[in-house]
Amino acid sequence: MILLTIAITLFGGMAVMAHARAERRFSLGEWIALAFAAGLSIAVITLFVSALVIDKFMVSIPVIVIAVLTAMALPRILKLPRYAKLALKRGPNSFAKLPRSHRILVGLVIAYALVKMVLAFDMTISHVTRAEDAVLWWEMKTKIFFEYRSLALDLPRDSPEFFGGSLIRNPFAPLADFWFICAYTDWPPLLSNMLSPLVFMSTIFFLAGRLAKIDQRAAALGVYLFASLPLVFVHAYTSYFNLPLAFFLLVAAITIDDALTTEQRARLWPVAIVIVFGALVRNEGALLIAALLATMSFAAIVFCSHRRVAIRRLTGLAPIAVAVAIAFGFNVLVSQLSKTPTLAHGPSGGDFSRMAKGFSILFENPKRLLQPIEQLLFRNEYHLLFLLFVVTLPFHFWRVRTLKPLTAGLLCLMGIFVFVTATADFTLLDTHFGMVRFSIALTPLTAYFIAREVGERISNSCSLPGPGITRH
Amino acid sequence: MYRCFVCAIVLFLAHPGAARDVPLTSLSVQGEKGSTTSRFFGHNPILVMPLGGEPASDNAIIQLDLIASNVDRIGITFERADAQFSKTEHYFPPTVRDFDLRTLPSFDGSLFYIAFVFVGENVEVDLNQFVSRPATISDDARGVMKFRPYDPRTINFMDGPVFRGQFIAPALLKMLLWLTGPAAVWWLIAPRSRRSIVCGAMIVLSCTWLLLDLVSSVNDIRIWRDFKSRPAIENSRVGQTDFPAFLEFARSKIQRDAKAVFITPYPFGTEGPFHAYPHLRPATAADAAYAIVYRETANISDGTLTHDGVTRKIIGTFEFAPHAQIHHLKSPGSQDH
Repeated sequence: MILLTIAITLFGGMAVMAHARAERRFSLGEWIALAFAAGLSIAVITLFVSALVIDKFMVSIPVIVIAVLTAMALPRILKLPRYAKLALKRGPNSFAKLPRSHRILVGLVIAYALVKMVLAFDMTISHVTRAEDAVLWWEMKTKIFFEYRSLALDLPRDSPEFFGGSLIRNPFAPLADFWFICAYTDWPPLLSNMLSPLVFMSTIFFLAGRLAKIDQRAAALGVYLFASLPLVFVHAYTSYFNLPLAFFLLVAAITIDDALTTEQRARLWPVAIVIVFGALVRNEGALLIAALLATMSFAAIVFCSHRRVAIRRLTGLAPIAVAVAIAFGFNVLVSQLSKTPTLAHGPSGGDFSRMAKGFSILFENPKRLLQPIEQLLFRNEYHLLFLLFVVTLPFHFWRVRTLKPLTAGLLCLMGIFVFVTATADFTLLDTHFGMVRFSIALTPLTAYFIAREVGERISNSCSLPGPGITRH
Repeated sequence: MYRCFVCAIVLFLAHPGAARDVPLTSLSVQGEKGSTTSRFFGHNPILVMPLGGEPASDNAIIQLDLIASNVDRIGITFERADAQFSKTEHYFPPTVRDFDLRTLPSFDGSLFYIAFVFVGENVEVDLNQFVSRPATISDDARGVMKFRPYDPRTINFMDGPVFRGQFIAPALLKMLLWLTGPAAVWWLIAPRSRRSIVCGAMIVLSCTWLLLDLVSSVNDIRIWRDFKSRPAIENSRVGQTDFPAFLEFARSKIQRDAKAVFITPYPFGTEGPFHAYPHLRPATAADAAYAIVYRETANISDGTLTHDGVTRKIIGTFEFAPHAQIHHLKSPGSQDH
């Protein structure tokens, strides 16, 4: 039954993507990854709206919406296998045209990623996730939805971070779980852990599909860099929301980059739906996507040689800006609705005053900024990835006059990570945000960035045409 | 400009890092198996390293690299991992760097912990390294591939395997960073060799990455096999205890939807309400119908239970074990008969 639920979610998402004629922009891997997230968004949002309108959760309403969407988009969905076949056999960067040794290497990475995905799924259903922090209240709220059909906005845990929009209070994560368990008459244990391996799989599909447009070897490198990180894999079978946040940041960054650097005007509303879901589940997701949007737009205007073109393209980003604004507003509303509003929480006031305090502490002692970098590089295995990023960074500063939006966006997120970790004790956060949440959230984007750099060099050295993207 | 920037990055990364100044309010420093760097001071401060009852060959050498002032001598107290609660004391001058546990009297197996007492007034200690490691390289190599079971705290800290008393990943990373300095200098002074420098760097980095991935992937497969060998509930944080059986007992004795307060230590206090829900609904001491007490001494006297400043009358008790009891509480509004 859970497989049927996942299939309905996936088909619903594929239908949404098809309505936006996404097959022209997205590879099969990207399509599947986004379809899952879009389907989940549609299901959860309609479920929530049905609860608001008729005061109870009607599982049949999302199913009807998805069925209608799928029926309308069926002719396009049926064409997908043909597109996939074409991409595999023809095209300048197709797998079939690689040298034999490279094909073996790419095949090994595919096998490696498949094993990791299977292990993640099997380990998820073979253990009970620690019922603490996020998971306890997340699953508890799901159980409350399931048993009593009511929203639980207030639970005995305080979450002052990020304007009170963390997943402890937000009802959307449990709604996603509720969607998965909707077909059951009794509470199925372990089922809500399923989101983690699904997102792990989606991230791998998205990385592979996206990078394959540049070069198949770059795709293999990106997937391997991401899937081989031990802390990422632990998150793939443990239900924390760090990995989904990573997926939504990756999707947002690449979509914004596409919109700013491609000639073709893209329809971004299906991606906006995906981003709404990510931003709704956790407010820091909304804030980080907003930061990405601002930094990348700024970089596109300031460092682009054709400013008029860049400014014209900025208008295309309106759906994502609206999505982030809606999500942020909703999260603050939920925070206000709960019995203990968190906007003015904490001994030193609300979030803004705490951030201001953090900045003032940094000005007093700038050496604090070195602490997170030291921890980042010397603490865990997965920090080798960030070492790779640091090594590639000087090459970008060499070309600072043509700084790419994606590089600027990633640097902005890294800066936020360093600030949050350095001032953790003053902003009432803890190093968990810097050392785990943010560093995990940045891993797929960093892996993509490094693999793309390598892929572009391979493409240039082989004199193959690029991925159809006009770079500044 | 670009070359200066590269050099600055390399020099910054290659800097080994000065000791962090950690003034401690308490007089003890909890050591871990990895490297610990800190500064502490006070009267007879104590440095404790938990060894978890592991075999002696895994932790035979304690590396204690420090600069101490006002220390008369260092005392050692340790607890053996056998059934007998055994303690001994052994003193040595504060100049020793590597301490061989096998030289201790009555050391014949595994230890639960070892504590170093810095005897003296106004002691100040700059601790650069405080780690344990096997005595031989072959034991060390075996330790790298030793099974590290799933630990819920790995969601925050991925300690990884230890080699020569250090976590292998940061140790390899430091080695890479130290190699980066000469490579960068070579890059600047010999432009014709740049291609070979880049190739060499990529090979070293790839080998390091593959080695770490091999170690962690093998461990992941072992964790997977470990998971599959038991029912799912036993893979939870409370699974190795009788807590799941106690909860089952509670479900059989308490009617559905009853409100219950859990008087249990961490992590049972957070795990209990989750696993018992929805059969039991979480409540406070003021409105609970039942108090579930596990591994905690409840404040009970004269047939009343006091918890969180609230006193409730007990009207019945179900005992699962001496450390696991369910108290039926009288409802707050009801009259005494």
